[in-house]
Amino acid sequence: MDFLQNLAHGMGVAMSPINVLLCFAGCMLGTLIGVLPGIGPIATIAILLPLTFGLDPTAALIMLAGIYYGAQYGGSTASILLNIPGESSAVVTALDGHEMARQGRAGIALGISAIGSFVAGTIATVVIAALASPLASLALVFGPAEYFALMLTGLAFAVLLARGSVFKAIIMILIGVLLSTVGPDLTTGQLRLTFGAVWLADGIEIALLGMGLFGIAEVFRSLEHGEARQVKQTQIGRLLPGPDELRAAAKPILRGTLLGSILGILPGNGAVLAPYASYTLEKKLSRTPGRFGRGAIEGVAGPESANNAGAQTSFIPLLTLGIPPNAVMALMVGAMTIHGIVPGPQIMTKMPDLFWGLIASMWMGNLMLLVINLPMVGLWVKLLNVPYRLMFVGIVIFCCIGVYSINSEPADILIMAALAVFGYALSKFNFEPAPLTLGFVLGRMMEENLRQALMISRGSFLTFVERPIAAFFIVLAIVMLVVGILPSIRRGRDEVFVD
Amino acid sequence: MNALRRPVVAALSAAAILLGCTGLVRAQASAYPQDRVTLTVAFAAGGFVDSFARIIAQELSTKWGKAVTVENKAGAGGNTAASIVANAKPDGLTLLVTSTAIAINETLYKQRDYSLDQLAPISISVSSPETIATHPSNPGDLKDYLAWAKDREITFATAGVGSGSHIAAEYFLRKLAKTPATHVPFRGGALSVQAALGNQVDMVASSFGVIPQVTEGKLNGLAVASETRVSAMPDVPTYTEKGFPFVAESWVAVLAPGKTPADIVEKINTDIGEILARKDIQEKLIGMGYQLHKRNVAEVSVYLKDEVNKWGEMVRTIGVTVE
Repeated sequence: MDFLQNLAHGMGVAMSPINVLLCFAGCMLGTLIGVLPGIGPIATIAILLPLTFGLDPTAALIMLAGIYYGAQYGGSTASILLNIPGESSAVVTALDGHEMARQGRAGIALGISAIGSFVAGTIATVVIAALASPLASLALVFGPAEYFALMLTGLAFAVLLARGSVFKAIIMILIGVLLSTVGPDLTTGQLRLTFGAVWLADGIEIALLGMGLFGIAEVFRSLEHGEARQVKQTQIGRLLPGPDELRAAAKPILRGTLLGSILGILPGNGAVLAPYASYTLEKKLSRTPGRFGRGAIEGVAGPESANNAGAQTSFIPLLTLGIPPNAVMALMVGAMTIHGIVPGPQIMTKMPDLFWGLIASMWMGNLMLLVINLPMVGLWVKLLNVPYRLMFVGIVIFCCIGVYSINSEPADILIMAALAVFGYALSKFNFEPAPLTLGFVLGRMMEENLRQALMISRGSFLTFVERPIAAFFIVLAIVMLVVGILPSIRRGRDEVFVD
Repeated sequence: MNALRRPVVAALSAAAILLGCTGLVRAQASAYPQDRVTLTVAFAAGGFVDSFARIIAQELSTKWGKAVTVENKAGAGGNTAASIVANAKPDGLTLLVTSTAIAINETLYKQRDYSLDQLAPISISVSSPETIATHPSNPGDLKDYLAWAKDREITFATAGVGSGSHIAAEYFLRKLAKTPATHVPFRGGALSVQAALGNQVDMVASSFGVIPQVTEGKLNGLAVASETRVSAMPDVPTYTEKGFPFVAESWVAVLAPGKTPADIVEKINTDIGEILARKDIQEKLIGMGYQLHKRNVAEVSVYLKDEVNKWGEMVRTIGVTVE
């Protein structure tokens, strides 16, 4: 067991007092910024980057990585308590997590997401240590054709994700796809759907969508009910998950970890698909899918684990190939180059201290996050006792600061406000915003991969059938759509008969 | 406008200071800078330009005894940041750090809300040549490769339409090598390199981005578009050696608003030059794949004009525009 030896070596590096301290600092800071909506890990790492100059590169990367996965933990806190998802992964957590909070089970939701994330983090650490190199070469098989097919499956998921009408879900997905096309076209560089507005020239940030459609729209909805909401909030109930809840969450956590670990390795930010995939899987496997969206613990445990596992395995392409799969990892490349390290395949052999130290620190960081977060659950839950008339002001202010901090662009706040009104209207007409976010996340990636795949195949659509992995996903997508749509058509007909 | 951002930045910086990792700041008596200097970087954090900006920001801040902060204003292929700095107060406290894009966009973009005349070039001191590379299963010598490519219309991946890599590679293939090829743009250089690693595309065009893959033998470097070979990958020949006299380099430029006093521009040029003359900094930059150039302000200005013409000619030849 070579990797156990390496991992032990890494532990030795990670356990040095300065590294432990920086790992803790990173995790703590990450949690805090994660809780504040909109101030994501990208802004934080970019701001803190110069301050790591004086540090040894391993220590610097350990701290920056801590911020990254700490933010993943913190992000779920804001979505569960206040329904303010700052990024696309937290949107899924908000679906059932916030519902649980409204039923007075906020502590349980927070607890299970911390425990699930820890389990996922532990397993993902072992996966990275044992399989990083073979997995990375496997990910190279994934070209644009495979990726497009995978995303088509993802969109089929989105239809299944819908709580109510499939027809409405498809409309929402299409609006999401439409919104994702705003900005420069990849293949020609021409601007699309910007109507000449400079502030639309680079498209719409996912954080605006999350905070507008969910966070602020939720504020509108709550204000409608006035202080009546208070009654629910005072019934807090048990703080941490009990044996029954742990049992219900165990399998979703493991399945979520598996899904997240696989998707995290894929190029082009496959990790964003993980929570959606896990949520759909759990809903499909559940004997009582009706509970999903109404506070099902599986709907929090699975996606949270998938998200954390994916966040961690997305280090694999960075550490083994030198290819950053998403914006945060691109920043890590920046951090490495500034310290004079060229990220690439040679890191593992030439800088074993850095490679294994960083991996071992991930496990240590996850343990720290569990220790930081479990005792804080009580504190967070108490936050819900703050009178809503005070709290909503805070939510709105933090969302505005968060959105502004992304690009320092005042127009972004107006876009968020418009999306909030839109989100409120959607809820009035019983449309779900979750499929819209998924359509938004997948839309652009799908279009770009489709066009790249067709350019590579010189225009032949057969590429999606000839390449086995792509063909597999296309078939899977078709099967899922049929399975998803057929019952609802039948149900629709039944309803007609009832009338 | 900055009032809203400041609390966030302040809170995060305060947190960082608490971590005990602040750099020592030395006070120095000098007229410029009187206040905090902002380097407005035209691209997202983490890239080629950003890394350079952060390295010099740190060193300038020590030298000047004033904070030098990096602000990323990505957008419109670098035009967003250029326009902000072009319209900023010409006091040397707002500087632009950008790439070859500033020269390319003069021809590439039909519309921009600034003009290059509104900016004063200060320094262009680091560059990395445009490089083409291919999967090791394909011919690894440029001549053999072109012969192999002749009858199969190869695909080549780049960081995007209108990127320096795209323009240089398409110009080389079409104009110099007369080899038809299909361009496959990706969102960023990293994904284009990945496509070549997986042999999804026949070739990747990039600058310093392929160096680690080439030195590790995961990709074969076909040619570099510089006068001399790159020390980080000494086995890759130049285009000139292979019979195609072709030089196209991706560089990082520092510019100030056009009306900035000449003595401030001179001072910044000298100070950046002093930083880049240091052994430790040079080793770091050369290790990353950069080539270093010593130029005074007048030379920078001439070089920039030449580059605008050279890239403009390439852009017109391949016939690409962005509205």
